[in-house]
Amino acid sequence: MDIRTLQNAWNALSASDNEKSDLTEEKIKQLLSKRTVTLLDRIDKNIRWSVLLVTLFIIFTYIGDLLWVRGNDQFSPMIDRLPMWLVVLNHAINFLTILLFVLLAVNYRKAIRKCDDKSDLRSVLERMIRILNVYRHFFIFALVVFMMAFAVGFLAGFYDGLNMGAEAARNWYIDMIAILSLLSISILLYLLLRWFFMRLYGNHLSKLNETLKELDEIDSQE
Amino acid sequence: MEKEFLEIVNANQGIIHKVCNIYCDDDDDRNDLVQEILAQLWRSYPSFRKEAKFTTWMYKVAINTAITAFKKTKRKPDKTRLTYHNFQIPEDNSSQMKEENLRLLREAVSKLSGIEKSIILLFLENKGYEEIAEITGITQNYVRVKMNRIKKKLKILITAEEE
Repeated sequence: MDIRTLQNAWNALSASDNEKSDLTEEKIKQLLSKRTVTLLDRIDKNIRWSVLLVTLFIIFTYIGDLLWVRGNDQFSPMIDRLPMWLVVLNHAINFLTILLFVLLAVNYRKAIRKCDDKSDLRSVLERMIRILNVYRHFFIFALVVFMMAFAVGFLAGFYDGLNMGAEAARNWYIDMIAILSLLSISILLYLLLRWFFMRLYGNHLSKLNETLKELDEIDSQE
Repeated sequence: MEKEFLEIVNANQGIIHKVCNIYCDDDDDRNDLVQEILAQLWRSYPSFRKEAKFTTWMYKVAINTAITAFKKTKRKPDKTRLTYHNFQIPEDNSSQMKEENLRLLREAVSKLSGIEKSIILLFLENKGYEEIAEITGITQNYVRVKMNRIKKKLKILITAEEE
């Protein structure tokens, strides 16, 4: 089959496309009313929602920590029964959450600031890859932080349930069980959620990077 | 501006259908891409410089959107065959041959990269190298080089498919 036959096949298909009139003005208006935002806009919205959730999480965490103040007889002194390393880990997670928030805000502003309205393919690709990378890094970092927060909460309950607090700190095997549980839960949930995210956006990011690489090869040969 | 936009897109909707035919495997993808292209056209329309040709601009936006479009990963690819029946062309004696050629074209083109698809689409639409260069952002010389490579690649793919 030569290029002429290809051209003929395409012409026949194309003639049919030219006659199509299913995209009437009403239909176009209807489609636009359903979706006026592009993929980048939707990811942008997701990032803004994520920032809001992280902010609420930080506020919630600190309110929660204030309620568990050591020596406060009005509330359950649960914190007294927890091993020190767990308390330190809890504070570290709070710090990581704030760091996550700041990093996200900075990276996102950088990515958006670099965005311009150029319509050439390279600019479009680079813009999308930048935004998707911010989203990916944020998602993975947030996942790690939230998994650790979840695991710490689980372990706090574990120690509280055992009611062994100070004694537990002297039994290394209890700590070992606690640490292994923390690691297992965190790793499992992390791998599951990361797989979900990569399945959704990972392939798309790879495809975009391949196209950008092809453009780079073209530019280097010109 | 909205009225003007709707009129002009309606008049040139063939471009959207052609781009979707090249870049999409099935109806779901096609419907998604149509919406994505329309959204991007609407968003970019205020920045369209009226001294440039509208169709050139529309091809550029549609192709860029198609190349960067997000496709949901499907377990079972639901490939709707592009046949003459789908396009309501009356059957004749050579329709079987034409369908076969269309199938070969589709299978071969689906194996090209996003940029290669854009070049072959514009070539099959009888666009000159200058216009192809303007739409794709690649220099004219390289469009010629790339076109020769694509033709060779298609020949190999179609021969393999025919066997």
